[in-house]
Amino acid sequence: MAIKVQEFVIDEAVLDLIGNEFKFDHAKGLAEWIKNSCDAYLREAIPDDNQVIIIRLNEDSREQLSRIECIDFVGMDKKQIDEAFKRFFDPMAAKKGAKGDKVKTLGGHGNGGKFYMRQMFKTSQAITYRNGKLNIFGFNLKRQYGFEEGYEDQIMSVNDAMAMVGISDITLPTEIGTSKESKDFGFTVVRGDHPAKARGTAGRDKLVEKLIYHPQARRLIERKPIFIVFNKETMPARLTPPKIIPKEGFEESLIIQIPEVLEYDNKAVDFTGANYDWPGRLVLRTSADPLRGNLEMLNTIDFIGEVGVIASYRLFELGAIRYSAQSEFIYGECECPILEDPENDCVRNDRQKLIENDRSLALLAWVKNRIEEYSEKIELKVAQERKRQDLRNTSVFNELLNRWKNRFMTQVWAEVFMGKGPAGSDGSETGTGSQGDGKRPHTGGTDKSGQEGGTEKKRKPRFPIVLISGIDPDPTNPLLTEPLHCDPRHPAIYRRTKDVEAGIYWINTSRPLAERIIKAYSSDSPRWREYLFQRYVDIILKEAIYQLGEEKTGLRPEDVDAKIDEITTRIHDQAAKDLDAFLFEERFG
Amino acid sequence: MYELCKGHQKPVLYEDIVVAAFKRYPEEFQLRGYPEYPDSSDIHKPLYQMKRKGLVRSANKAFELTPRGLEVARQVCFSESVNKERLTKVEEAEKNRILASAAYRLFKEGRQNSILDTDFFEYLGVTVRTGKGDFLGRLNNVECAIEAFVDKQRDADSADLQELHKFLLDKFKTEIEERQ
Repeated sequence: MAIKVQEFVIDEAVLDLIGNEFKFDHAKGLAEWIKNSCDAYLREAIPDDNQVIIIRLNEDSREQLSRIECIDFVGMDKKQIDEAFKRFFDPMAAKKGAKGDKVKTLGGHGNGGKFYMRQMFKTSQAITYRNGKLNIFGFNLKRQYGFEEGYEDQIMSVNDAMAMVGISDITLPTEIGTSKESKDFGFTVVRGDHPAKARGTAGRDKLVEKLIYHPQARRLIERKPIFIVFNKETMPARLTPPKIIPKEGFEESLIIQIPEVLEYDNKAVDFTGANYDWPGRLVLRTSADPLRGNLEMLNTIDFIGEVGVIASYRLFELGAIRYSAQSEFIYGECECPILEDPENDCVRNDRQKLIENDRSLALLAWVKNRIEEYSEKIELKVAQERKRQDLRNTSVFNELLNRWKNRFMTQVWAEVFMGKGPAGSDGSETGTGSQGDGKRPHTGGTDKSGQEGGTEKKRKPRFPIVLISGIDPDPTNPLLTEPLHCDPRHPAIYRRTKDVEAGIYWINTSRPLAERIIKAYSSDSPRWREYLFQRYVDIILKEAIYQLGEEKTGLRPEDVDAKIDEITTRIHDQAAKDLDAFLFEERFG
Repeated sequence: MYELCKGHQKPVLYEDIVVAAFKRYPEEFQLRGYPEYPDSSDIHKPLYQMKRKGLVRSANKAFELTPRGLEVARQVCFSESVNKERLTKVEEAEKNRILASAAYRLFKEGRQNSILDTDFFEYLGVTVRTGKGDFLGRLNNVECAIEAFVDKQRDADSADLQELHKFLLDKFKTEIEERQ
């Protein structure tokens, strides 16, 4: 059965129904107006630097906001008002009248700015001048809209038009590309009178503060010349976004490419498509101070679609984040053009949160995981710094023990190992016979390209150098000023391949027992000093066993056992003589 | 060597190997121009090649067959056939050792990034101080064992072990290159 198609009839009441859902505060509403002004410039292909927007806030005698205005210098003609401004829910509204076919605009469905005018003011108007004609279109007390009587394509000089609107006294910023005298000069003043009270944005200062942090406005304020002027002031002041000093050690933005496919709920979700060949990226930044109090709005990830912000999530809104204390230092943005794919649109009308579907949920989960990883890195760095503070005296103790160990090893190696130095880096394998007793022929090393590393030897100290992880920088890499940090799973005495070559041992202060002692007794305590001493015992014993291996063929467990007893006894006897104060005094040094 | 150590893992002095080889094959191991004296130079190189293959270990100028070296020697001396279906004792021990390693546990838990250099050394059964030859020998032995798991067992564990091995070789490439 065929029907005779009729035009849809929609009652105006739907505007109240939807308008109530917008729940505007004035910062959000002003951000919508700013976006509309930017789109007006974008349609005219005017570069960012010339996109001058002036916000004017007027107060009554009680310092309550009485009028809010957003002024741009593009202007609309009547046709544009009829075809775009008048129309609600038109997804192409922001692009109407654009000079280029493929202009990317910030506006979506053409609702935000108009709903703000309609819902949040007693009356509101768009007063616009272009091609020598003035039009005034607005909402009345009953929230009905239409042209102001007598101001439909009213021919007028630019000076008269500006005087009539009350902007002729404002000193126009030099960034405006065209002069008042040019025939291309136009302007639009979007004005709202008697603004509704909105929590947090009732006063002008609060409103401005909230505006510069608002996700929809922040980036525009950063990139474009947007000014503020109060009451009768004539000299607009440029708005600047808050300067955020990054956290030390995390100065560079962390940029992570979004994978082409993410898994969500056991499904593969694509982030590329026919018209979207770039999946996008996540950019994470840090702040030196936690983003709390009036900075809390910045503790946010803004999601950017093809051009502007299409949603913003405070970090806690992404779900419970491990290392949440560190996540307070993070903010950033996630660019993902395919979120605006018309076939699976993730953009809500109010551009606050994404529409929930597999794509948006997969992306949100992925972003949350990246933030957790970054928070963990910050946490690790903080813990390392804390430990460095905790270990402030340990360097002094270590120097003392290093000197003592050298004296001890010189004496004991002379007596026990007949004056030989500690075993080579690869113990039994120098192949040159340099450690041998001369009775046997050497079996390797004559061939430089041979089996056991040839005859070249690196210069290294006679006895090993002991360093402390978390305090001492890596001497094998002099360009690094940061201390070397061991993993808690590394052994208590740790060596890398290059440490063996350089004769270095690291005492791993990240081991759970080491951390426990520092936490419970502090790094000044005799307990900690004894812990360090015991690690020296370990090192000396290791060296002794390797030395024994150099000397004895077919080392048996009892050989090792006997040598451990011998060396340990000597260490303890010597320490009892030399290290009494170090090991037993409550305060040392 | 197998005869000298009587089939056990026991160090044999280099000199004893030279003399034994000369006694058994005087033509091949005599000093040129002095047929009554042995020449050690022909013994030296193959011993170190065997070391890099993980068949012998050396310490303090003494050499001993590794467990795999003993297995290979048995096959050579007694023409033992290799069972192509079952893992040998040495391969079985290698597998159990790796399955108990921290590297394997972390890999199975999806925490590959947490695998440390010390875990890699444990996986190979060496330490940071193990000499180059012994290190490469152990690497070769583990590789042979992994190949055997894949050829003979073809189960999920074998596939995991092969993947882990590949991952570790890539992650600790520089550790290996420094010793080659």
